[in-house]
Amino acid sequence: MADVRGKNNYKIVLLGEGRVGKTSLVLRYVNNTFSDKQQTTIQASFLSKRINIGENTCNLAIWDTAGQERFHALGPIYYRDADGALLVYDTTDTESFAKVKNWVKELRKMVGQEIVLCIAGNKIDLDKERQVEKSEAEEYAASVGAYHFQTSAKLGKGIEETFLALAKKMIEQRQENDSRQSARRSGGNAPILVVADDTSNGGSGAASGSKACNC
Amino acid sequence: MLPGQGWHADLQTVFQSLWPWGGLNGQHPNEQLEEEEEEDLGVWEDDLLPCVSPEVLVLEKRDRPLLLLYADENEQDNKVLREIARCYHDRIDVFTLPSDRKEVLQHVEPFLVGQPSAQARAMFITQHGGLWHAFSYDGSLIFEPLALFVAANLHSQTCPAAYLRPGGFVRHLVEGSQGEILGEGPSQEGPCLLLVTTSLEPPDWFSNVSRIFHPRCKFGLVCEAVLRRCMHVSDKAIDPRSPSNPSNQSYILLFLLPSLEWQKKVGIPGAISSALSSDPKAVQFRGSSDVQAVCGFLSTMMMECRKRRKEKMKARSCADDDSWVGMVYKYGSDYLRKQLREACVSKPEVLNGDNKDAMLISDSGNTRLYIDLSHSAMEHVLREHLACGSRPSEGLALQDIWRKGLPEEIRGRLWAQAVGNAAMLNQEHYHEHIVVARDLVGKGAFMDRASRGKEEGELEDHLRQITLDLERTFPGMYFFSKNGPFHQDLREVLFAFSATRPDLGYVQGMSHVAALLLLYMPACSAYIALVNELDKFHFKDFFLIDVKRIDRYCAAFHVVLLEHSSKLACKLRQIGVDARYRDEAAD
Repeated sequence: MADVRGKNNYKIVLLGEGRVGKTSLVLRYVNNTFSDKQQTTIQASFLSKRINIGENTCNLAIWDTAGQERFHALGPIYYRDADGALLVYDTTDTESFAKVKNWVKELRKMVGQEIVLCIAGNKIDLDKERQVEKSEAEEYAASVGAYHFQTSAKLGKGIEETFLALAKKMIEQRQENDSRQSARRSGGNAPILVVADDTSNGGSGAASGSKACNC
Repeated sequence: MLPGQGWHADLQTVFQSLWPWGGLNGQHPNEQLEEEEEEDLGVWEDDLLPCVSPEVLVLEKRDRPLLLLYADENEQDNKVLREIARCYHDRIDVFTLPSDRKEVLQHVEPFLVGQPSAQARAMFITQHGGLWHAFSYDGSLIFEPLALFVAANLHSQTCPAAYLRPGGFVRHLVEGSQGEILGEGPSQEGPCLLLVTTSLEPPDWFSNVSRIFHPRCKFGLVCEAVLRRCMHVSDKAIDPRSPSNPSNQSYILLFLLPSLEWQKKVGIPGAISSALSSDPKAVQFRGSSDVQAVCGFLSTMMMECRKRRKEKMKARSCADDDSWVGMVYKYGSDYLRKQLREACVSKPEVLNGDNKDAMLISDSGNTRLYIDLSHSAMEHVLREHLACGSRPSEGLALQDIWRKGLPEEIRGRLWAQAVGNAAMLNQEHYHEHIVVARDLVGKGAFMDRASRGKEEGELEDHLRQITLDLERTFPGMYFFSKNGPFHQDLREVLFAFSATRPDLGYVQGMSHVAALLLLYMPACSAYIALVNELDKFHFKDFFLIDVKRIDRYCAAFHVVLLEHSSKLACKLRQIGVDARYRDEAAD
């Protein structure tokens, strides 16, 4: 699957319950627009953005999916070869957070550790109606090796940071994968490197999780 | 193949299959011809055309139409001959006929339409739908009719249901013709509209009208010079053109009512038949509204026939309420009902009235003809077409009308009729469901999932999702937002749908379909249309989100894309975009 995507192309899939603001997040990030009258997303839509990270330029291909439970079956089509997943919940709706947990389980089971996970609690502008506590969400994110951010598509808060962190991590992950693969191919030194890789890979999830809690 | 007696019936079936807009053979014969245009540019430049040889007449090996002309010392004839060859050299092969026609006839006889003639002065041999037809012409060579005939064959490639006669000919645009409308008086089957023309091609609007009214009316082009020589059309009929209206923008149409036998069958009233059938009436149309005007005129005529027939049938039994007449009476507005009652060919009182939609189309003799330019006329046309069991996609011009959008006034009703009601739903079903919906909305508990008991069913789930989506359906239009006029209707229609089809339930995306329907029809009709429409074609499979079945559509799409635009398909594959859902195949 890696040969299909270009060297600097990264695929991100947005998952989460209906009406948590997935489309609004993407539109704020890509076009810097916001409308409180957003159409429902049917099946999925696609947007792309080019960003610079250090010396690297990378293209983010962002797949925005429909949130209704009925479309769950189509999920694999979108996350199958994704580099990263942004799981969105609504901070005013505990049910949507439970749904994020389901997605994490499914992604870890179906795709494994290779996919970079990021959880975003949207609609923090509605702080009065908040039902999902920040600490609770952060704790959970850390436990599954995911970033956690609080966002507001309406106010444009936290979104740049979310995608930037996700992109950085995806680049890192891919470089790791590449070096591991080339190491395997190069033969002689391989055993040592593989061991080293395994440990770093195992630890990276937890490390990034705790790092992410600072927002 | 079709010589001698009894060829009418055979031809009719052949012609029906040849009809280019509905036939099995999708390829337009004209395309074939145009590709081969490049050859034989020099033929006509020679003063002497080559004489036809037996090899040329082996029709199985030919791919272009043949025109055979008899040349002799007559200077006039030779001029005509060269003129015709010059006109069509790029489309057809032109040869001269030998003085002894026997050998030629031997070859073409199996394909000859009509009787073989040893005196034939011209022969046109052309292919339609894989079958060759030979038309012989045994009058003196006159450029106009012959050229018109050949041109009509080449340009419109409809059907060869006409043949050349010494006195003249009629070129039919649609199938089922019996060859000689003018020679023998009005044709046997159904009414016929002829366009009097001096040009070689029918104007677009005329072709459109003929497509819309196919097959209930026949259409033809007739050359004015030929027409004047014909016995059955009086000079009076074509008078409106020359003296009173020399404008080039007007057309003369001859409306021929069919034989008495047909009228009896259809039940056309005596008053109309006596007004029209004794002599073909000339009808004059002008300006840009031609399609509409002619359609209006024809629909009025057809409607009258139909109405009478319906009334006759109603007297016998009250069944057949599904017909459009029944629909109009049952569901239509007062205006429509009035239209239906009053649709009549001669309505002198309209002239003084306020009806701006009516237009005087003929004032010849004692009869004044009006046509209805209003939307209701168009509606009648389309309804008629649907009532015949046709699908909206049938007929090119009709397809155009549907695709460009029907006028708003009639859109909802026509949509409803086009969708049909195979599910046999009625108002009661709808009310049954919306009572439940209103009850649930009244309680308001469905929105709060936390306090909801587990035993509560899917319906609440659907209602919750529907409510979330209401404002997110065409949000720019405000029709469906909280205080919008259709907010409540949309919720109820969608809820009623999910209750009617628990297997589908509510799926995001349906709200847009329902919203479109609601814009043009009342809630109950929208519900009926939605249930029926979503059960059709791919809707069901896509809304069920059955990945395997969707995959089949995608695979089909992929094949079609590959066929129509292989470049695009290759490029998409190159960059890793594939419509198909490759489950395991990717790994």
